[in-house]
Order: sequence, then C-alpha cells, then structure tokens
Amino acid sequence: MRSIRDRPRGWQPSDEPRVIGQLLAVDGLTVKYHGDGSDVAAVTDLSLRVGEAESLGLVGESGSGKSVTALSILRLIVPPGEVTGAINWRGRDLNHLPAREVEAIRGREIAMVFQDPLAYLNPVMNVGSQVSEVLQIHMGMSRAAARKRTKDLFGMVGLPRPGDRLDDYPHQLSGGMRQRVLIAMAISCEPKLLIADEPTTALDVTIQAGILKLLSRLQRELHMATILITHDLAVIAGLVDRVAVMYAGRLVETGSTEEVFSRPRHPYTQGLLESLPRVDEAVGGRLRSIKGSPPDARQLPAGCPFHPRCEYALAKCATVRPELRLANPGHTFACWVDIAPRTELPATDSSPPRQPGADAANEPILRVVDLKVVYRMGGAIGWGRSVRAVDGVSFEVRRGETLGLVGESGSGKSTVAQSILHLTKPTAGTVIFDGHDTLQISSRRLRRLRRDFQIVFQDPYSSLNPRHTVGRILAEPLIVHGVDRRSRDTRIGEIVDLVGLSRGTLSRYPHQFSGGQRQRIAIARALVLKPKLLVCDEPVSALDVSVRAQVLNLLRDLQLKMQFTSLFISHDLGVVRQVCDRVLVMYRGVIVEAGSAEQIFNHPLHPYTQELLAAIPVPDPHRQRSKFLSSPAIEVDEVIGQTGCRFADRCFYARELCREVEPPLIQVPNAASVACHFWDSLGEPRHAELREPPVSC
Amino acid sequence: MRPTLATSPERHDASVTEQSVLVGAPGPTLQAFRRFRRHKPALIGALVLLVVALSVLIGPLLLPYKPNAVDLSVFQKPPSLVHPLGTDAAGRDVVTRLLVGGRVSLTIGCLVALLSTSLGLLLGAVAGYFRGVPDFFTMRLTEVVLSFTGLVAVAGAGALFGPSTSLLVVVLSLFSWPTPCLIVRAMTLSIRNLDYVAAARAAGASNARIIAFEVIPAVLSPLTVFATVAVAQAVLAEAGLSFLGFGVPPPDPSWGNMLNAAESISVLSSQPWLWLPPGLMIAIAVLCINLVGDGLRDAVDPRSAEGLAAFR
Repeated sequence: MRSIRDRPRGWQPSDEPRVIGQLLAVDGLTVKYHGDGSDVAAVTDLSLRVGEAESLGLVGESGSGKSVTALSILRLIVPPGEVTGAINWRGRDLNHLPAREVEAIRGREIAMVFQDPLAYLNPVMNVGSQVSEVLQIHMGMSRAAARKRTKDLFGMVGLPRPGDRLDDYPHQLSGGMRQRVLIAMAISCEPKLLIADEPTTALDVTIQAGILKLLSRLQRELHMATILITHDLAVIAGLVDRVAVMYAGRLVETGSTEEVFSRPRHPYTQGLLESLPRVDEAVGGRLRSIKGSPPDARQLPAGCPFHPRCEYALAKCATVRPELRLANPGHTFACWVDIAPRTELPATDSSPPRQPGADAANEPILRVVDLKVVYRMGGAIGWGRSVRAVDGVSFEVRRGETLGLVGESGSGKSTVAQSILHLTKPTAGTVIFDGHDTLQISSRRLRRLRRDFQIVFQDPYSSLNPRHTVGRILAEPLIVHGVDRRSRDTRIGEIVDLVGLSRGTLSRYPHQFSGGQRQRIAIARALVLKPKLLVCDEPVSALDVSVRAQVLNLLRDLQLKMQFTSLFISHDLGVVRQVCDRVLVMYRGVIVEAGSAEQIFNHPLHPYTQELLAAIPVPDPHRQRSKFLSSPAIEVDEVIGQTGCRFADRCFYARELCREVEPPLIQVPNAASVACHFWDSLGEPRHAELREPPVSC
Repeated sequence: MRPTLATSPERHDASVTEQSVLVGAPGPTLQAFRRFRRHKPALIGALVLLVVALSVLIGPLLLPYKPNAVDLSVFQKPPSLVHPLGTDAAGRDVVTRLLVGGRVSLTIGCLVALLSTSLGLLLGAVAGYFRGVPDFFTMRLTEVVLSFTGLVAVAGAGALFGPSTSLLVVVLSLFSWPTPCLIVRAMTLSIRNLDYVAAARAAGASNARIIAFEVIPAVLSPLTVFATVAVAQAVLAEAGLSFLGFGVPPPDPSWGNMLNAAESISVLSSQPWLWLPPGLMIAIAVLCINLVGDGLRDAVDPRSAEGLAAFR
C-alpha cells in the first residue's frame, strides 16, 4: 500500500476552485480493517478539500468507502479499523490530536446526521432534552436557555408546533420529523461543517424532498460547509457545489456539480448517471446499465478496480491503476481512457421497444374487488385499536401487461400484494385469479393454484434461506408441486441460464453472492414454475444503483420471453415509469389515481400524484436547484383517522367538502381515474398556513 | 464520438453478468466447523470427552471383572496392581464399576438431552410458527412445568413406581424440555416473518413442510449448543438423584450411585478411592461438555465471540 510520501510528484490536489478559506483538507487517507490473516482496505489514499461554506457530495455505492471516510473525519473508526493519513481541520490534524480535543471538535465544529434517525435518538428521553443536552454541554447554556434555543431550532428545521414537540418522545414523531430533530441537534452548535450520511435514504420521497429543501436552506442561511454522502446522484444534484465519486475505496472523479453531471469523464460516473431510471423522461426500451456488481473489498481486481465492469477497458487497465488526472481546472478523474461525453444514448440497444401493454380488450387475469385488510394492534384477546392497511381497493390486471402499484410507506401497496398471494388474509373483498375465487377455494386447491402466481421480494438477503444451496432453493417450488427429479434438473438449468447465472452457482450458498445476483436467484425461484402472474414487491430498491438497471432489464426480457403478467410494486416512480404500462397510485389504503403510465406521468390529476412527481429528485443540478427555491419546506402535521379525503391534511387545495366526504374513484373521459372532488378545478395552491418559518440565529 | 477500443483478453463479454462470486467460500456448516476448530478450550474438551467415551465403551471389555461380581475375599481393599482403584464394600472392582457406571451416566445424559431437546424443538416450533391457540397452550404448559422442581418430581415418581433407569430418563426429559422450547419458539417467531418463509408459502409448501425445511434447520445449530449443555446438566442431575438413592437402582453402577458410598463418614475419610474417582469423572465430563458447548456457541454465532476477541 502506498503512503502519502511516495505519491507521484505530478499529482496535485488542485480541485479547489472557489475555496475562500479552507476548512478541511484530507490527504492520503487510508482506512484498513485488520481481519484474521489479511487486512481489508475500506478507503485507500483519498484526498479531499472542503472550503468554508462549500458543499461537497460524496457519491458511491455500498462498500465504496464513503461512510468510512466520513467516520474517519470524525475519528469514529474503532479497532480493528486503522486510519492513516492526514485530516487537517483548520490547521490541526484530527488524526493525531488527543482524544479529548477531538471530542471538543466533534458535535461543536463538525456535526453529523445519520441515515436512520431512530437509531440515533434515545427512545426513553424526550427529543427536546436530547437537543438541549448538546447545547448545555457544548455551549455551556443554562437549562432554560437551552430549552428556549431548542424551541427556536425546532422551528428552524420546520417542525410544526415546535413548542409542543419539545416534550415528544422519538416514537411519537414520524420519520421525517425525527430526521429534522437530528438535523436540529446537528446544527445546534452552529458547526462549521455538517456531514450528512444518506440523510434521506430511509425516508419517503415526499419527505425526502422536504429534508433536501431544508438542507439547502440551512446551507444558504447558516453559511456552513456540508458533506452529503449518498448513493443517489439525483439527491445531491441541486444541493452541492462539488461532487466526489468513490469506487472501491478510491476517488474516481471529482469536479464541480455542473461539470460532473453534464460532462462525466469517468466511465463509472457516466454509467451511474445513465442507469438512473428517470421519471422525467421515458426511455422506452432497455435501460442502460453497468454490467457486473461492485467488487468485494477483500478481492479487489488488479489495475483499475472498475475495469471488469468497464465498457471502455483497455489491456492496460487490468494491470496498471490510473491516478487522478486533470480534465479541466477543478475536474479530476482516474481513467486511462479519454471518454467523450455522450450527448445521446448510443444505439447499443437494438432490442425491440417495450411490448405495448396489453390492450384493454384483453381479459383480466386478476380481479380484485373491494379488498380490505384490517390489522388488530395489541391486545391478545381483541381489545386494542385496528389499523385499516387496505381500505376498499378494486382493480384489474390484464393478461400480459405490467401494472405498477405506487405509493409511499404505509400506503398499503405491499399489503395488497400479500393478500393477492394469500400471504396475508384479507378481512373482506374478493380476489379472482384466472377464474378462481381464491378466497373461497380450499387450502389444498389454493396450494396447487400457487404455481401460477409467484412473488419476488424486496430484500434478497432475507428472501433466500441461508442454509440451503441455490440448487435446493430453486428446486423447492418444483418439489412442492410434484415435479420429478429429471424434469426438475432441466427446468432449473433453463431458468438459471435465463436469469444470467452460471450453472456452477447451484452448489453455492446465498451468502456467496452479491445483492444483484441474489435477486437474480430470487427471480429464478419465482419463475421456475412458469407462473402466469409475477408480483414484484420493490424488486430493486435494496440494490445498488448500478445493478438496478440490470435487474429491471432482466425482468423485462424475461417477461417478453416467458409471457407472464406482472404486478410491479414500487415507491420509486422513476422505476415504475420505465417498466409499467398502467399505474395505480395508492395513498393510505386507497387508490387515488389509476391510468396509463403516460397519463399518470404526463398529466397527473390527483394533487397527491402531482406532489409525488414533483418530489422526485432528478439528476439535473439546475432543475433540482430551482425546485428547492419554490415551495415551503415544512413538515406536515398529519392527523390520522379523520373522515373525508385522506389526503386533505396534506393537500394544498383542500376545501370544506374534502374534509367531510371521501371522494370516489371516478373515470375521467380520455384520462385517468381519479379520487378527488376538484380534479378539474384545482386552483392556486393555498399554502398560507404553511409559510416558511424565519431562520434566526 | 466513442474512442476506438483495443480488443484485449481482459474485456468481458457484456452478456455475461456479475461473475464476481467469492469463489470457494464454504457453506454455513463448514464455516462453523472451521470456527470451532480454532477454539482451543473446546478442542481440548472434545478430545478429553472422546477419550472418556472410548474408554467407557471399550474399557469394560478389556477388564477381567464383572461390574456386579461380588468377591468377598477382597472387600474394601485400597488400590493395588490387581485392583488399580481398589474394591468396594462388596469386593467389586472400582475401575470396572467406574467405566460401566460412566456408560450408564453418559447414556442417561445423552438420552435426556436428546429427548428433551426434541420435545422442546417440536413444541417450540409449532407454538412459534402457528402462534395463537397452540402458542397459548404451550406457553402455559411450560410455565406449569417450570414451576415444579424437577428433582423432587423424580424423587416422587421413584417413590411411586420404584426407582428405574428408564423412568429416570423419562421424568428428567419431561422436566427439562421447557428451556429448549422457549428458545426455539423465540427464534421461530422471528424466522416466520422472514421473506424466505413467505416465499416457501407462496410456492405452495404446506405448513409442515415449511416447519421441517425452513424453520427447523435455522434453529438447529443454536439448539445443538443447548443440547450439549443439557447433557452436562442431565449427568449432574443423575449424579444428584443417584446419590440420594432415587436414581439408578443398585446393584447397577453409575457415577452418581457410586458416590452414594460416600454417605458414610468412615468411607469419606479413610477410603477416598471409592468416591474420588466417580466425583472426578463427573467433574471432568461436565467441564469438558460445557467447554464443547462454549466452542459450539462461538462457532454457530460468531458475533458472540467478537466481544471476547476484542478483549484479548
């Protein structure tokens, strides 16, 4: 491993175009984890600069070392991890400072916001005290002063009724509110640098939009530098001045946001940008994807770590690792090849366009009528409240089409899938699959019918039994349905070829595969019975961005080859736009809008669909930035269990009628079906009561 | 414009996807075995146990004495060349009785562990998988059983039916299944919510099949740890009961009822060869079994060993 001293002379960390005063300078940062026998390098020879009030986006997939970089800046790496290199913070080397002095800087000068707010809040302490505590310790404030300041901070981060929030416990707050509390805590001491590690990844897209707006506002108004760590380029597009892309523990490209987004020079960056399913434009065909999956840190390829996945790779790439070099002033990249910016998607995609969705004449393969699922919460004997997860949902899936079911967490979309598959017992309603009323038939006949409808789950880590080999996993459905050994083997062989795995994988165990490969195995298991309907429940949301497109393309190819119908459930509208013929939008247990993909994405009628579409970040710095400046960034205080339209509390257009009468789903001529009283007369948004709170420091 | 590309052997075919498998990574069982092999105390424990088991199995065949053969000419003799550990009050050879008694004690230990763990596994898996009514009744039953003292129950049963080895095994098992049952139930409750169980259900597998192929394999390895410790506990329980006279009925030897001789002060003070060997054997066997259990736990659940590794 090279140290800082033997860095090639020619290389200069010259990526600081608009730096007024330098805050943080990381040089030759290497983080190694000592395992038994061998060391694993999580970060290798990384150098970064962050100037005052500058914002940097650190982008990378799982295992790229982005979070480890953040942790080592705060000196939070514990043994067996070991950090070498210099972390210069305003003239002091954090890596060699006494622990006590680092503690004084941590939280006071450098603050951090994490991905999962619940894990970082004390569940038995009210949130007000948790923030005040920080102020009392770091700023030496009195109890009363700290409490008052906390209230101001809560207002600043857009928590509704901040005074009342002080005494709330973490479990009483929504995910978005918790993240706002953590942000309030982070900015409480007016830090010079805020590090946010995937601050919105665990949140719904509309909540994410609010948090991103908040971060953008705080940057502007508090003049603090930020490092935003994410796997999603779209998230940071409008937020950061510069972008640093990491791959396999190294920087592969750094530059200004405009440069990197419009003229990416590293093939990996280019691939990442191209493989994002965009909600603002339909690709209509295969998505571009990066082949392969991110490497295991224990087995990094020789030469350029990206070369096995790179479409431009030369012979040289496999042996000699390229150092960062200058593309333009302030724009560096590590690649031997000078790739030209691609203005349009190249015509490598010769496959036929997506099969136009089965037309309306096709008979439905699945009919769901007035489906209701009520969960009883708590109380073994029957007391306790009930939660209506799905509240009267009716729809049809036509033979051959791909129907998208879209909604945020809590919308009931997964519950719908579970009840169609009889993994959850519906409380009321009818599910007619292929002519059989599946709620009425005997459990024996239902088991036999199951071969015709299969499911792919979200998390490929929990959906494969770690104790069975892949061969055993794929054989299970066939054994259950009495397929004899010989035909079993041929079927498994066929399906393994179809999903692009080698036959050698059959004797291996799930833990030996990457997330993308595991999802291929899960897809193979679902399709080995040749089902008529495949339900995909968030099939790509647990996967790395560069692998998502591969799996989506695979699903599409398989659907063309095997002619199944697909019900595609996702919270990611970009993904849905690329794969679905028709789309249903769910909100809190009901369908609020249904129509063709074209109708939903280009002419959304329901205010919720409109909000959802507006909330999705697009990998375009200018459009993202203008979005942040438009509407207010306050969390909506929702009241659950009212009458009338469920969306009324969040709706900018809500009127008297909306709070009293629940709108039915009505078919609009030549457009989608929509459940809104005022779909045709939505006036100006009325957000008088949602005015942005003033920022005061 | 795209650059012209040199064709190189390093270029991968774009149609071949994701080939970066961790080649040669072993399956979960083999991995656990490797971790076990690195655990020194457990390895020593296993080795000693092996020696004990072999000598207990083969030893009596090689010795000239019968365990119950009374020879009044040589009663209460101290260790000598003819009788390496002396003889007892009836002139029986202590070495022979020790080895045969070891057979009895260890068999009882293993049988009780096997029976109680299987019963606990079955009830726990069913209770945890189905929840609701089966769960309710199983849990109430464990509570009832756990509120009895096993030793007293065995003593009572012995008084009722007369002491016998098979009764001892049955009663001890009937009073030690709740612990494995609770362990299995707790694990099953979390396993049943995993997607792979849902996937099996979606594939059309019956509940029995899901319990047998998806749930039980997952609880089996942690359960072996429990079963190992259960052997040690049963050996101790047998010793205690036999010492009190409720266990293995004489004249058959067991480590426990050999200790029975130590009830008298004169034996305790002047004939240590009668009680020291069985006492030592019990201690060694229990210690070694627990060491093996320890090693198994670390092998099955590497996270439990991590804290210790950091401490080292």
